[in-house]
Amino acid sequence: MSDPAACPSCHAAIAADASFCTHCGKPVAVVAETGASETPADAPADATAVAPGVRLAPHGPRQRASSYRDRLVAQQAAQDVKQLHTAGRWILALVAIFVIAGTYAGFMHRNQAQQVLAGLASRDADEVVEIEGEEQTIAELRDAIRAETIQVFVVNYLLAALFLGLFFWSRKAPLPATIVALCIYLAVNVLNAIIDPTTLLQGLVLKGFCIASLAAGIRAAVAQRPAPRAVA
Amino acid sequence: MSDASRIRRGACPRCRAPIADEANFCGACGTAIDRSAERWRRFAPLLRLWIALLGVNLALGLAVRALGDDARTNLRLDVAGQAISVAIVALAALRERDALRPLFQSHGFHRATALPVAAAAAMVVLFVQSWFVACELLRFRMLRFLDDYRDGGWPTWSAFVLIAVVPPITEEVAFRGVILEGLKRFMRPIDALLLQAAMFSVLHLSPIIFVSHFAFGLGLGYVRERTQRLLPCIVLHAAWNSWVLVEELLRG
Repeated sequence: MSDPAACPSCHAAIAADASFCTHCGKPVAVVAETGASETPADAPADATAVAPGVRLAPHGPRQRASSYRDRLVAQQAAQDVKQLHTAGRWILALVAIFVIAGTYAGFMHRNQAQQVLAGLASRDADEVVEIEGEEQTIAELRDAIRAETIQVFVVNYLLAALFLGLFFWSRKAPLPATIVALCIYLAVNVLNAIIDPTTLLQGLVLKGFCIASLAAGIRAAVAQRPAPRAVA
Repeated sequence: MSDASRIRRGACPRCRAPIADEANFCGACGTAIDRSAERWRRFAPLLRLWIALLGVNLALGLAVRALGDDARTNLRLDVAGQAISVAIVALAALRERDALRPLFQSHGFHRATALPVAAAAAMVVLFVQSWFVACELLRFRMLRFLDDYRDGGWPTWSAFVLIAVVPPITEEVAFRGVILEGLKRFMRPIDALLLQAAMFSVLHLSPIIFVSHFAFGLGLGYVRERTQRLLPCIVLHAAWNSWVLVEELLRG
């Protein structure tokens, strides 16, 4: 290999004697050497595209093998795009899940809090009680119960907003956005399991689909198969 | 590939010309090269490291629920969890030792680097402190680290070792070392910076501190990028954790 040069199409650094850009696949050698936009001599003149940028050489056993391989790569690339879209839709589904589940949990918590507050109504506000090893007055306890209800709504809606942001980010940068979505989803489930271990087994099918789809999305984004581009 | 030194023995399946390490197409004949399996093989360990650390947290949390009747047991479980985390991170670091080695080498003191790094560190610390104050005002229950040490009869210095020394080293090697370095091979540096910060904050398993620790992770990532070293990150992380403990001691 000789000194590096730049691809006139995508500007990626390539070897000076390369006939094609190793990054985008466009023919470059003649352009780089003579300035003329000719196709390299070894490029099939009548190449046809199965997908933009995937060239098919029409004859000869080696060309046929190459054609099959290129078509396979194109199919895998299409599959990757499909998996990325599925992962994106699951991120959007998580927005809905956190909004619905958060609203439900918030109202459930509010009802329970109201019952507890009704029980505390007759107690003196300055009376001291011990909760989980900490001494609190009844007034402080009432405030804490009211605050907890708000916290349930806030945490769930914040998570929903976070996933909505991740959905939009996933359209620009699918790999980091999908990884963050998977990490947050796993962490929320682990946190719930630590607080209440029975939640680990709740909604297993939904959790499984969600995790599998996000993981497939990550795998598809990592694969980054050759970007399909039309041969000029 | 731009660098001839990165050419491997790999050959194009069509024309047998040598192909570069990460080339998408053969430079000689333009055939598409499928790198997906190879890329996944290099990416998966990063995800596995994070999932393993999350698994330790889950196991620790469940063990504390099941066995942690007293502070002494909680502390023993915490030490066991940290030992497993250290082993996991050490294995991952060993795997990536070639990429991590430069991060442990000294590049000398540069005033041009020190100023923005100090400014970033100050901003991050200020933001995190403000966030914690806001959480307290909103009556979110904040974690108290020293209670178990006091109740279990463990000396205060052990709290500093187990909170302000070991986790900063483990987490910095894992997140600003192995994970950030690995992610940069697959995405833009800015995306890698955001992602490692998100993974770092989420691993702390508290929705309340997600924002503050995300900012903290971002700040530490910036420090790592500016200095190209892990030691400043470890020092900053350890200083912050120490400050949290000192603040708790002062409050009594």
